[in-house]
Amino acid sequence: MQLARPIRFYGKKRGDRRTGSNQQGRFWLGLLSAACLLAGIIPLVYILVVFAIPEWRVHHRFVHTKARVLDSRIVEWTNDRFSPEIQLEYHLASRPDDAPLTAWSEYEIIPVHSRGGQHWERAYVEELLSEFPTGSEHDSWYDPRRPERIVLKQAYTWSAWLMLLLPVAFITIGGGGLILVLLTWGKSTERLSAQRPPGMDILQPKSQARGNLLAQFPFVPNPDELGDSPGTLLTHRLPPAKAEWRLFAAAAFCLFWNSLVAFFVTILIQDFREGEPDWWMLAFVIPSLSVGLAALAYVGRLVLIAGGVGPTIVEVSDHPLALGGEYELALSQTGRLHIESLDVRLVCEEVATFQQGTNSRTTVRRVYEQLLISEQSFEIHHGLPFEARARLQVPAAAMHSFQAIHNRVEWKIIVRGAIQRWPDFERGFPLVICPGAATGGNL
Amino acid sequence: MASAGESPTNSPQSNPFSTRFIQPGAISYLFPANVNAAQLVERLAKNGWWGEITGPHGSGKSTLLASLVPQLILARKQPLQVTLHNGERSLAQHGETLARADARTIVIVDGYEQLWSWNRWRLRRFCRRRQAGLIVTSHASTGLPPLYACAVDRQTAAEILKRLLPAESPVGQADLDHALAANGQNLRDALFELYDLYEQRQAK
Amino acid sequence: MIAPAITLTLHESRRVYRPGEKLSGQYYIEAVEGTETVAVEISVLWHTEGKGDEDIAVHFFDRVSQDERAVLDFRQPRVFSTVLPNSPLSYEGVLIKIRWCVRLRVFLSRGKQIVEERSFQLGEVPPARAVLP
Repeated sequence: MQLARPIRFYGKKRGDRRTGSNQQGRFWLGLLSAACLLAGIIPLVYILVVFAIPEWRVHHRFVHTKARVLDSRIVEWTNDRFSPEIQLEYHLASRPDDAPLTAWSEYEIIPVHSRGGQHWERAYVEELLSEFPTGSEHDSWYDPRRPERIVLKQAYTWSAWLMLLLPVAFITIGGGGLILVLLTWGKSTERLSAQRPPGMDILQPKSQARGNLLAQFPFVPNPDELGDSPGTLLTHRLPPAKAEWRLFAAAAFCLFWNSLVAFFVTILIQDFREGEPDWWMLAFVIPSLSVGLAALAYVGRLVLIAGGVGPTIVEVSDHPLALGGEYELALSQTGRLHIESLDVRLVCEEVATFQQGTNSRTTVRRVYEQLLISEQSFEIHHGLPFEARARLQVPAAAMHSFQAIHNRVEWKIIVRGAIQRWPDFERGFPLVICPGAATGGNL
Repeated sequence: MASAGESPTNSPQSNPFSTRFIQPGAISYLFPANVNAAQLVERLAKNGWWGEITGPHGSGKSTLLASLVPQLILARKQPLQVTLHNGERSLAQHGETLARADARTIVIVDGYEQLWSWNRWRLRRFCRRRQAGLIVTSHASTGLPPLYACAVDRQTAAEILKRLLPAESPVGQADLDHALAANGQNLRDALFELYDLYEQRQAK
Repeated sequence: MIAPAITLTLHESRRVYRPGEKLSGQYYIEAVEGTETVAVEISVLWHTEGKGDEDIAVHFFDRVSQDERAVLDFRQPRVFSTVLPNSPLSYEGVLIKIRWCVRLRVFLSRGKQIVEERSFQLGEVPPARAVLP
């Protein structure tokens, strides 16, 4: 008895290529996402614990007092590194009549020497200490939990806060991937078992039926690899073509790239403020910033389309289809738009890949097109998706879906919309069409 | 993968500009009157089995390589061919192939200029150490001993067309001239363009 | 060397087959003095032709070779047969054509080879035309 689709950790061999199962793909995505998440959490925690939280506490929890400088010294570390220490005498604000406290301060809550670079140099430390001659009085702040902990400067290290963007990017990408894996892991099998047609063994996973289909039609793409799922209007919901992942990929790249650029920009600004500009870094940052801004604009456009247009859902009454077969198609389009025209077509395209010198090129030619739905001039309101149905008559005399290494015959449903004052959108939904009786197919 | 002796004229339904008829190895390289593959191999031997084939895009460098291979085998050399694709900058993916190189081998790298300079230097050092020969193709000289400079002229292109086309064909010399002009004398791209033209006219 | 005469025929003269049907045929080789047939490979395969790089897949394969225990007489007709698959069907597209054939490869002494092919059509998919934009 098979209750669930087994996880295959080896690839299926098809010709000269190995293709993995969906479960295998999800497993590795989960692993990669977990690694990303970890790569983000560890530096995030470090930055928060070492920089962000202590500085925040200085601003919001430390208590102000006036402190008198008793003494100062330069602490020598290994490898010619130095740091300042200032001995202060001060009263606790809560007990002004008590004897004053005496404590050594490292000047800032984040020790100067932690910042690296010139902050280690003796000259820098001496200059800093020269601002605190013995006997002088200065504003200071002490930790009410540990009053012997006192600082002479209340400031934020903005570079540290900006550096948070980088681990946040990793956490977003890793966390998003993990959520996706968890949401889709094993889901298809459970949902499919509830929709199995009567008469079929309820305990037979649909993958078993699909396996029979693959054996029956060699070099016809596996519908499972397209990732279709149960529909709500009809039996099968077609997944969008991989282009829909553009937004996710573009956003991930944009976040990652701009986080890196922000990090370098911060360092650059700091260097300029300290009077030591790094011209080489500036030469590197300027083009990188241009790339980041271009990526942002591109993501913005995609977000406009995705956010304004809303998801497009295409469902069919059966999948895979067969040449000559008759099916039902349902379309659901959400958003808040004024549609000038909306077309849904069934198309067939030949895709050929060839070597052009040492480059690989792919060329596409459309060989069949059938208009299924055409609507003009209407409104889609938020929360009220536009829905339409059509009869999908697959041509009898045509080529079935075909997939080899360099050549493919692909069928898809294309939804194209022209929207007032908005970029046009086009979304493709691949589907698999098997040979039918009319072309000599043996179903 | 056209087998020996196969030509488009054997299959009346075939488009003579299909990849299998025009890919390197499917058509022999057409030399000028005073040059042939055996002479090039002799020149190569005099240069210690090192040489470069230069020429612009689509001028037949890969086709010439394919024509040289049988002569190299006759000269008791073992060709080991590496074709770099899509901006490959290193030979990392071809390690297994290159590991077989020895003194009898001629390493052939198609698309040599795509490699990073560092990787080109490493390849040359590798071949010297293994005492292997080295033939490369590139668009401009890369410093190896020149073996041959490929160029497309109208006469050569016309001869190739004559070998490809059946007696009755909807595509002719004028179409090839036009395609060459449109593709900057890149014969390969011109032949790809003629594929589409042939299909369109055949359909009518 | 004079090449041997190869005869490769399909039992049914029609060129169009349906998926699931049996394809059968026979071949024989009339050797010429001075040549010896070392081995023979018969395969039923499809390959693509067109603008893309060639894809090929063998559906049926059989190899017969001479060995010391029995000398094979290739002058006697040898029969082959296979049940054809449901896909891919023969196709005359714009960029892609899928062609089915029976291929006989004869290995002669001294490393020579001869190839003979017979094409056939699987299924009845009509030729495709490009859809103009």
